[in-house]
Amino acid sequence: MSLKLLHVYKRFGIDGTSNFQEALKDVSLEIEKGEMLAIKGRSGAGKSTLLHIIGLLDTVDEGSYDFDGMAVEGLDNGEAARLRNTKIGFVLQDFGLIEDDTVLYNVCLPLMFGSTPYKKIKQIAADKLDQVGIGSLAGKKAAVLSGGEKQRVAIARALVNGPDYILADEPTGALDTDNADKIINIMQELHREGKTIVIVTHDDAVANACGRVICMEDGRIP
Amino acid sequence: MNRIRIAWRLITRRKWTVFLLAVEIILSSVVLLGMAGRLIFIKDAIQITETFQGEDAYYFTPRSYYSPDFEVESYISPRLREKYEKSEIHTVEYEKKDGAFLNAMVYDDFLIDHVEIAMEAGVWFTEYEGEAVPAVVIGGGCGAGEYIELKNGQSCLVIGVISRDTYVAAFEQSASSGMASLENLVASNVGYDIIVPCAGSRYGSIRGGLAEERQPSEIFVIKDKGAARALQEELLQYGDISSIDEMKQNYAADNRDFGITNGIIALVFLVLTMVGIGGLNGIQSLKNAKIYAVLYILGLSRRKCMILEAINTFTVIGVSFLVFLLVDDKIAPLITPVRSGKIYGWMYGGIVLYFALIYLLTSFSSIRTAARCDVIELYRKEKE
Repeated sequence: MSLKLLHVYKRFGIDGTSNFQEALKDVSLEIEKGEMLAIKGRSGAGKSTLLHIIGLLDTVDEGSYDFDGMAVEGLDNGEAARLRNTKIGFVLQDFGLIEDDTVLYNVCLPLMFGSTPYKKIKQIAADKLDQVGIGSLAGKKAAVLSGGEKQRVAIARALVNGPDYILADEPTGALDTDNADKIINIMQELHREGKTIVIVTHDDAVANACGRVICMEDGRIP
Repeated sequence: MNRIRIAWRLITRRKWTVFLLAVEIILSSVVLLGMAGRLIFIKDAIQITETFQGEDAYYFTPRSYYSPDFEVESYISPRLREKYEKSEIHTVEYEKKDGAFLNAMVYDDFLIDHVEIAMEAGVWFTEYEGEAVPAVVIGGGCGAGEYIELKNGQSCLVIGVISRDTYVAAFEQSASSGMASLENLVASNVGYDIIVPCAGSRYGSIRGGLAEERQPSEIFVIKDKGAARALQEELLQYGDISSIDEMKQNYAADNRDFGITNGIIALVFLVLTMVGIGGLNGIQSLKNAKIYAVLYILGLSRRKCMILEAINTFTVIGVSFLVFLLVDDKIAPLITPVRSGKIYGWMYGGIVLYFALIYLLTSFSSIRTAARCDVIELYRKEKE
């Protein structure tokens, strides 16, 4: 099981013109199962675009992408959404929580797209909150949590469906050093449990905690 | 079930916006229904202007201090008595075979031949050629082709049915010299059950009414044009008189003004509700866009996001409309003092569709916007 991108190009239109900007240029990358990979690079280097493509949030314009043996080009929107829901967990810099809902409800959300009974969903979500050490916060509104707590909620939510892949976009970008360390530790623990982890980061400390680091420049992996 | 739970959360987390939307829908429904009813009424009312076409007819109401038995023809000069024809309406109560009472309006042949009444089912007297005594039922209860049996052994055949809110000649209001409109001689929702021909009518008649009264006003039709002025002058000594032609013109002018005014108000109101509800819902949808971006990232397809928004939308419209149906009778008089006009079932459906359209356009346009751009960028913008 692995993720394989071959000669991938991604272009975006430039507002108000008929011109395109190439965000990814001839990117080839293979991510093995169980690997912990950091993608580094300056702003605008194409890291997030690459992560979105890996996470099936976006599609390639040219080249091929093989997700666990499946050609992504052949998937329709529904199939891609189902894969995102069951195989991938996302952790975002800004946490991506529904702020005025409870921590527990936020963690329950990915399971609520399926037919699992809500009572069972709540039990699974509570277990994941315990796993990241914030079980006591289940009933609180996400809005009242600290940045570190929010990110742990986001990680619990990313784990709730038991995904193979955790994709994190600047997971420590909005956190202080202490909380950033805690998040890195949780990521390393997940890696030890066998999850495949891809982290987009500016932070050398985060990159150094990963088994492999690739640096992007101007849409390419040199 | 889980998705309904998500949709319900979307509604409750914006409860004040949803509450405002619901109030706006309820008030808009009341006003729009009233206006639609009035505009339909105006359309239907045009038919009444065909009444007494080509006749030199006058609507006369004796002064109120005369007794109900006052017969103005007793006071008209003998030279004029042969130069007009008179039409009046009597009201009679009959007892049915089952003991129930039947309130009837009794039309004479002249009236039957001249009024234009919109039938809901069956035919008007002028199109009936049978032998049985005919009757037209007001507001249902009996269908065309059924017989109404009376306690005195007589019966009448229901040849037609008109709805309760249809305008019929009633002669209840005053002629208000020169100022009257056709609306003075017609009325809707009259408290009568049937219309039957009067005694001696060529259409046949029922005898043996329990209590008979004459309506206050009547119509004089001038047969000799040369006598018109003299007859008008004599009638004016005893009451108010209006020419049917003038009444028709006044009525047409009133309706035209009423239609234009109400049409403009309805149009302005439609635009206002569209902007108000669309804007409010648009704001709510934009606020929800961030949540849809999150749901998309977590694995909900855009199609399912739209289904979720549709559940969200129709729940708000559905609940608001149910509340409207419950409170309409109570708040309608506060907003539209006179709910004149005709309200049909399809109007309710039309209003629901109108709101659904506004909602869907604004809700789906925001999701489409979200679908076109980078969802994470959208999420970040919303965050800011």
